[in-house]
Order: sequence, then C-alpha cells, then structure tokens
Amino acid sequence: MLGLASFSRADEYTATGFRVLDPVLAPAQFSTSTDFQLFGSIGEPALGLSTAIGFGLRSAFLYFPVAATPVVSATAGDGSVVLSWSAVTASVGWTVGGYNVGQATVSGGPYTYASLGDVTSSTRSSLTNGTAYYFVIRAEDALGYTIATSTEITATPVASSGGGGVGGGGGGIGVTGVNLSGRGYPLSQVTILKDGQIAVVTIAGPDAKFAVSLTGLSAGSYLFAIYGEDSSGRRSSLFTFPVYLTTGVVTNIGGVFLAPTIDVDKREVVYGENIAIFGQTVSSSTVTIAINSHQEIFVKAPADETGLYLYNLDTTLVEKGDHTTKAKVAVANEISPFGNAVKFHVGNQTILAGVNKSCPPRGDLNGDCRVNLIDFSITAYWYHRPLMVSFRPREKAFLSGDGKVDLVDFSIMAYYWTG
Amino acid sequence: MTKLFFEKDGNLVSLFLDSPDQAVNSVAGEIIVPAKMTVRQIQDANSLINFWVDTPAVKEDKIIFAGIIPGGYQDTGGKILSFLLATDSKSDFGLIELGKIRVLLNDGLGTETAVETSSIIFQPTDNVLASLEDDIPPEEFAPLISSDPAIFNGAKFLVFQTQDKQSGISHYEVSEGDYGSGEHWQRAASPYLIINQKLDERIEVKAVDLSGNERIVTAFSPSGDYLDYIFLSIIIIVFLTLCFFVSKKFFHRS
Repeated sequence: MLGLASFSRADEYTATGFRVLDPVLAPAQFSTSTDFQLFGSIGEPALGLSTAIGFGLRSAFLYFPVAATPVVSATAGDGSVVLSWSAVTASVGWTVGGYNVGQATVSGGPYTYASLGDVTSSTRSSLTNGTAYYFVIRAEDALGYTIATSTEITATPVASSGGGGVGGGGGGIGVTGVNLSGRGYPLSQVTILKDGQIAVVTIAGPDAKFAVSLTGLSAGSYLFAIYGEDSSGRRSSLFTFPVYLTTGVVTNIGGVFLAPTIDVDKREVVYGENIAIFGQTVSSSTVTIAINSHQEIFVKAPADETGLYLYNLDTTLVEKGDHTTKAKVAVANEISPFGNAVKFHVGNQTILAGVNKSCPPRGDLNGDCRVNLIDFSITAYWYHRPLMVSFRPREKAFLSGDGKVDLVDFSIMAYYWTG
Repeated sequence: MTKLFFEKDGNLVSLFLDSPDQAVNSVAGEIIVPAKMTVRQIQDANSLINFWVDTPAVKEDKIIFAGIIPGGYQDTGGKILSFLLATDSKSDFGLIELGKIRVLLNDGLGTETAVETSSIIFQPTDNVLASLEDDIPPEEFAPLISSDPAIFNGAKFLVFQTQDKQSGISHYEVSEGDYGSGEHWQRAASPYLIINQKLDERIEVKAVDLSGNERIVTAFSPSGDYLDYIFLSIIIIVFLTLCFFVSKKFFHRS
C-alpha cells in the first residue's frame, strides 16, 4: 500500500479516479509544480496485513525517460503512404494506450492528428501524388497523454507507372531500396546489417547523425539491424527493425536512436568506494543511468560536446553483491532505448576492469571480436554432435557452458551478433 | 504474449510469429502434418529467420525447423516459413498442429519464454500447386573462408548464406577449380570443407532459389595473389641483380 502524507489535511486527498505513481515527472510537463511538497511512506492498515514476497519500490522524486521514441518507416504508394513503427515500451507505471499519427505538408508541421488505436502500422490514403508529406507518430498512455513522439518522416506519393511500381519516400522511380537515418555517436562507426549480414558501414557526423541508402534490393521482408561503435571501440546494443520493401519504392526509416555505450572502470569494487560508469552517446545530451540493486537507482549524467559521459557512483548507495547498470539518453525530445547492461560487483576488494572491452563477451568463438556467420558455422558444426574435448572450454567460455550445443547457444550468439 | 499461428492462402500454409511485448531471437519446433497430406514444398522466402539451425525439412510427417534472428524480433506478423500441401482427394481435410515449440528471449542467456500456439484445419483447394512468379535471383552474398581447430581438424572451410525474397533458397552449390562453371558444381552446405586446401584455384558458390534462379559469387580467386607474387618476384630479382653489379663494380675497383 502506498500512503501519501503532507502538511495538508488528509481529506484533501479524496478524489475519484486518480493514481499516485510514486511520482514520475513525465514529458508534457503535466506534473510540474512550484509549491508542493510530497512525502511518501509505506505502511500497513493493520498489523500483518501487508506482507509481501517480492515487490519493487522506487522512492524519492525520480525523473527518467519512461518510453523510447518509436522508429518509423514510410513507404510511398499511389496516393498513399504506408507507415509502420516500432512498438513503444513504457515503464514505471505507464502503459501505452495507443498511437496517433500527425500529418502535414510542411516539414515541422503543424500536424493534423488522427487516432489509430494500439497498432504499429497505418496506411494514409487520399494523398496527392507528387506532394511531400511529413508524419510523426505519437504514443499515448492509457489516459491519452503523449509519452513519446517520433522524429519526422517524409514520403512523396507518386502515381503508379504501369507495371513499374511507384517511386517515393525520397527515392527515384524504379529503385527498390531503403534510406536509414538516426543518431549514433559523434564521428563514430555505424554498421547496418541486412538480414544478419553487414550491408554497409558508415560514419556518423559530429552531431552523431547518420544517414545511409541501400538500393538494388528486391521487394520483400527485411530485418535491418544497426549498431554503433564509440570512439573507444565499445559497441552499442543491436537495434533491429523489420520492414517490407516494395518494388520500385525507396522506403524511409527514420528516428533510429542508438542507446549509449556503457562501461565501468572496475569489475569489483570495495563497498564505499566509487565506481565510474561511463560511455559515449549524442553530444550535449542527458544520459539516464539505471543501476540494478535491491532498490533500482536512476541517476542522470550530462554528455559533453564529444558525447562522452561519466558518473561516479558512490557504492554506499547500493548493497554488497552483484549489480548491473545500463543507460539511455534523451535529446531534443527523442529518447533512446536502454542499451546493454554491464556487470559489477560491490564487495571487499577492488579489481580493475579489463581494457579489451570492445569484443563481444559471448558468442565470439574464433576470437576475432565479431559474432558472425563463421561463429555460427562453427557452432552449427557441433549441433547434435558430442563435443570434442578441445572445443568444450570454448563452449563453456563463449556459449551456454552446458557441455552441448543446442538452441540456447544459438540464441546467445544472436544476442551478441555483430555480423 | 508471444504467439505462433498459421494462416492459409489456397494450399499454401504459413507460420507466423507475434511477439509485441518482448524481443525473441530463436524459434524451433515441428509442424505436425496429417499423414494423408503431402508437403510439396517448403519456402523460407521473407522469413524472419536469418540463419537456420535446422533448415526446414520434412521428417516423418513433420516439418522440423529451428533458426535464429540476430538482434531479436519484437513485432507482430513475422513469417517463419510457408509450405505447400497436397492431398489425394479434395475432400480430405485435417488438423495442422505445432509441437515441441521453443521460443527464446533476446536476453543473452537463451531464456525460454511461454508461447501460445494455435492449429489450423486444412482442406485443399483446386489450385493444388500454385506456381511461383519469380525471375529474380537470390540476393548478392559474400562467402567467407576461415579455419578453426574446432572443426574439420583445422582445415580451411567456406561459409555462405543468402536470402531469396520471392520463392526462397532451394540449395547451394560449390565449384572448385579454374575450369569454369558447370560440371564442377556440387551441392554443398555451409560450413563447407574446402577440398583444395592450397587455395590456388578459384572457388565459386552458387545459390539457387526454388524457381531455379541462380546467383553465382566468387569466394576465392587466386589471380590477385599470383599477380602480387609475380610483381614481388620481379622486384626481388631486379634488386638482387643491381646489388650483384654494384658489388662487382665496387670489388673490381678496390
């Protein structure tokens, strides 16, 4: 039970239809106030009534992004544009109730919004061929408040040219392909995988933005995956996005926002000493760091003009034991998803972290710092076969370690895949 | 909730995956087909699965499959595979079911998640074997040569993989040697143990889709290496010759 107390009279809290979400300051500023105090407590109405096995509690006045902005694709058709977007995952008491699409013929709006319900695709029809349309997708919570807004995506419907399909979405007539854009890390490498294999590698600009085009593709379903490498060679988590490409149309995919890279300076730290949590992301942004503990902790750290961020965690804030930490970033109303988690241990000794952190910790069977078709093939060779003695140490170190090769080992490889 | 379900289009049955709330990266299982039905063709065109661990194949009235999705999948309506069914009689019908399904989370640990599955009743239509309209070859790909003490006793091997978005990949063939394509093509699977371990001859890989379209790529070409060796040899010979004459002249003077 969550009780709420203040210097006001208790009956001021009677209301019909409200929830206290242990307060979360959400986007859209509907929780701002200049003159209130909030006290939280946990109690039980009668002795023994509030026992629980396993519950999570977040206390204090927290601020952290609650939902990652959706990635949107736009495929132009004849008088129409097909939009699809990644599902928004909300947290901390929030649930996604549905989506709105904003449509304009001028970049930046004003947009005319239409409610779509809880779906992840929509076809906008009755559009004028040859006119560029601009769209944004807004995710709403159950009460109809906006909790995430995508970046703008554009497409230009074009009349069908007989059997040749249509052009649009920024590409020329007859070309089948995809334009991908988003944010990585300043002047760092961004790798795009097409169906699990490297299609193109590019470099993000000083503002961390990247844009690539892949053409000469055939129509069909593709799974694009994107990851970045920061200036120290640390890789981001893999961001995947399925898309269906239409013959003769270039599909635009915008709003890809790679999660910050993250690392720690110590594998194990003496309780009471600081541990540095650092990485790289978009320049001049705000990084939210989550530290998994008995009580999950959220802290903020600013990223400098090169995108580097650092947070020194006072380990007296967490209990002794194993912990993980992960990060997400917010800039210009865009919010990345959380990235990979890194582990550390708070105990009785200090062990510095290794320097070779850019290699995938698992799945890299041949030691080339990549997890790709070669590692998959080596693993596949031992599928349904008893493991050779000399291969067992590698299976233990880089796969599940259960002494056999099965689907679990391939799943581990898929998670750490680099192409 | 993660779900696996069938959809039927004529005599083509497709298996789809929904996982809107959590990312999954591995799917395995079997499709149980009534004994009175025949699986005429299995198609992996437009499959979510990028790498098959168990390439879909019929074994004892079941289609066995297992594969992975690098980076994971969190969306709805992702196709796993399709198959064409035929029956002796148009009046035959039966239940197509899923068995031994395993779906693993994209969490780096291979955690198995609960899956809701559904069955479908199949009855053939007139269009027993729909023809595939496909004149597009499989996609470009780049085979890799590697070696590892864990497989083939450390011998060099070849790995390859591509997609075909129209009908799906039928099979691969490998040609070793400089005699051109044709008689040297042999059906092969990845990883492929290279016969010519000296790597002094061309190696090509051919991907063939279910409509017979082919994509041939070169996995290894020795010509560049030969040129390098010849060029290096010429430089060494010229250098040694110059050294010989210079030293001869020097010693002659002294």
